[in-house]
Amino acid sequence: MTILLFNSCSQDAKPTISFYYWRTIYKLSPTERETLANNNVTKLYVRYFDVDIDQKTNEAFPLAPIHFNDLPTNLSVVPVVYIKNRVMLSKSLNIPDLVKKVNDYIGQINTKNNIKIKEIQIDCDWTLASKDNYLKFINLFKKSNTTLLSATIRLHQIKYFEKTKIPNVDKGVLMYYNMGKIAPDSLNSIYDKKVAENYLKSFKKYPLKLNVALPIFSWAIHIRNGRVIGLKNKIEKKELISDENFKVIESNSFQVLNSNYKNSTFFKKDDVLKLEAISEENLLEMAHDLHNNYEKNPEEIIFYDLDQFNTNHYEKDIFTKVSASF
Amino acid sequence: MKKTFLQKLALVFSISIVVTFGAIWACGGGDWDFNYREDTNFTPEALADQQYSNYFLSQDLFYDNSFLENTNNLFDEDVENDWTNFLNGKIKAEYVSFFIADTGKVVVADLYTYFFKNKKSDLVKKWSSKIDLKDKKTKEFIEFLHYAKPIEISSVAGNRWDYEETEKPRFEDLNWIQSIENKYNATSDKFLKNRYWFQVMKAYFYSNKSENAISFFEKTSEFQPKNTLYYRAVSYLAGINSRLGNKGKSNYLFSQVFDKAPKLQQVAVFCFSPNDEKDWKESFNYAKNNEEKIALWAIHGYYNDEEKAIENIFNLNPKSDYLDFLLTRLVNHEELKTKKTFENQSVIENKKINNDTISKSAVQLIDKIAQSKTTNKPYLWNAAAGYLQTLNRNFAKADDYFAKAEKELPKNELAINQLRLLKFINNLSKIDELNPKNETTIIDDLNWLYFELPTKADEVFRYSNASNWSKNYISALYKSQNNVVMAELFLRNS
Repeated sequence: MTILLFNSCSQDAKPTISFYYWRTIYKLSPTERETLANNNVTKLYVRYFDVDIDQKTNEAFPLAPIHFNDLPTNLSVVPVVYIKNRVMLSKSLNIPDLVKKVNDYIGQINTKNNIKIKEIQIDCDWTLASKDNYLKFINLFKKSNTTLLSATIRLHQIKYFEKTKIPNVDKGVLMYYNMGKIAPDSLNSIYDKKVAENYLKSFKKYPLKLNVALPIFSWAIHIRNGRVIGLKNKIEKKELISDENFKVIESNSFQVLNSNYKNSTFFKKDDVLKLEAISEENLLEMAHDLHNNYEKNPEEIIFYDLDQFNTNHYEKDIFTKVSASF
Repeated sequence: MKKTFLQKLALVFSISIVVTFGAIWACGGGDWDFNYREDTNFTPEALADQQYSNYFLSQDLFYDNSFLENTNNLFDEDVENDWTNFLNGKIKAEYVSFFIADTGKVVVADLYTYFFKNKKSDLVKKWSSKIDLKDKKTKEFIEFLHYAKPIEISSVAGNRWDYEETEKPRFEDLNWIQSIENKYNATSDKFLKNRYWFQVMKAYFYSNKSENAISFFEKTSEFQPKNTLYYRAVSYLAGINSRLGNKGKSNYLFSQVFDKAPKLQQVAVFCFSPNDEKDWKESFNYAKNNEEKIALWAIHGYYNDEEKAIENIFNLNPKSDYLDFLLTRLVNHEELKTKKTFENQSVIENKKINNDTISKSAVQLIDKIAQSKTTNKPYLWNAAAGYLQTLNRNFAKADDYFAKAEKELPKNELAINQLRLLKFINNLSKIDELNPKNETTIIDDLNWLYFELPTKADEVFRYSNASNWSKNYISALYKSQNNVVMAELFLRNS
């Protein structure tokens, strides 16, 4: 009996740990290198470029491509291409042409930086209106590539997959965050267990192998007169606490006492900054819920995103603890 | 009505949401969850100067999503026209464009060799029938292009799908820049001197020695005409200062570009970015006069502090053109604060809440300016002051302002409609209980709003908000008067 139990557990191996890298210049800090080493990370999902549509010419173009100041060593790089949904909504979209251009551009970046790849990931928040174009794009992209192809999948795309359909990829990555509306209310738009619970039961029915992306980022929602006017990333709570222009009004909310420029943003008197972050408890809770609702453990957890600003907010062993919770 | 760009974007949740929105909103300039056309009654186009219409309030970075995405070709037409005028018909305009563009690179090289090394290639022979090779200005034009073209390797973005194009090399040939500077010093022709001067600034900007542009500018700028080339050079200087960490100086220079070079305004607004209060205050140390201080306040106002900007600009120059767009932004911001529905509250309670929401200091400021009669467009200030008084529940004072506005109002349909709409909102806002007498004060306007205006399908005039609000308002009144049928009727139509 003991042996049987042991066997049963060992079949459901713990997921490996990976990260997304989302800055436009690839250069790791010593802390970031240490994070990779401590967690035996062998694979890094690097955003190569976005694809947007030129409003004037209506042509798709690559936006903010990555530049490598360091070369990734001892790491397998997975290029991630974020395609804005409005590209797929474009009526004049030439899909074979876009497939060729995206492929070619990834190739140019690889050649320039001497990077060999085994997988490409496409990230697109496709909708019912853009579904046909997106699925055609993925089909053609897969045919024109010998590498593995993965795609990000949103919660609603899993629950309603019969309507939204499933992209023809080798595996998907469930984005287990951005669950709520970015709003002045007291809810956390990055993660909300109650929202997540509406989707948990759908995972076992989803016919595609799913890894999972978990959030370690934080942001501040900039609110004026009860309306959201922006998102600010990389704002430290302690920095606001020590700034006399800001006053704590709730545990994670600050009011602007005097109009001022800070971190290149203008904060007007009476504006509110609502900080949203993910705690260690949140991450462990996510792991627990996903484990209970996945048919089989995901092979990989990809944390979004590798940046010492994010990782500094956690104990060093958090990533292995999350993996162990599966 | 136009669809809105960011409303769609706000629904997009991607891995990259932080990057995307961080970049877009670092510059401020808009709100997320409103439709500026459908949620406001004050149409900025109706009464304000159109000169700064890109900066009217919008949920896009610039009004109507008008940001220039590609600055590569921004000045092509100006440059071609300038040279065509200089050449005075000696070279056809289409050939001028051909030579300036990348297409002319090889011909320019051959022609330069012909002019200065006396070698006549087949290409030159071919062109000798199209242009006058003996003409002095033609020779000067080709010589200028010979010096200018090598810089384009660093300055002109090529095919977007070519990754190499995103890593443009710095212009490293400092001797080449020196030779352009020598041409600048040696040339007596004012037009050519100015063009060479600009090329020196441009070449330094794209070089590894960009700080040299600062000393060159200090030494030579006072002798330059204050034309578009001059402000293009100033924008280079601003960029270099920003790169060197001199943010106060950089932001001051960008404010000058904003003020003086219409084609570079959006770029200047986009690049203006004080890190902190120190940077912002330091910018004023560089402002040499009131007009330069006003330019700084104008950009600051665009960054959502219209009230402070209006107050300061008015004190410096009450006739400044910047006051118009700032006032429209202030009014649109104030009206967006108001609640337009009457669920769980009476009309009186709703008006009280809105009254409490309005910025009292903004109302006082606009009152003061309207009463000063010192602005360029008193009717704009009277209309705005009246509308703010409506929101402030001071309806009689609003009537006074509207009467004053009417006397000087431009005689065009949009302006007339705008004032009529504001007067109607004020008249309806006066009513706490409907009776046959006060119904007569609104009935004509209701017919106009519900039946006349929709048939005209005007995209610019913002009347739909008042239409919906009035139906809700009247329905709420009927409800409070226990007239369920009429209350239903108005709501059903809203």
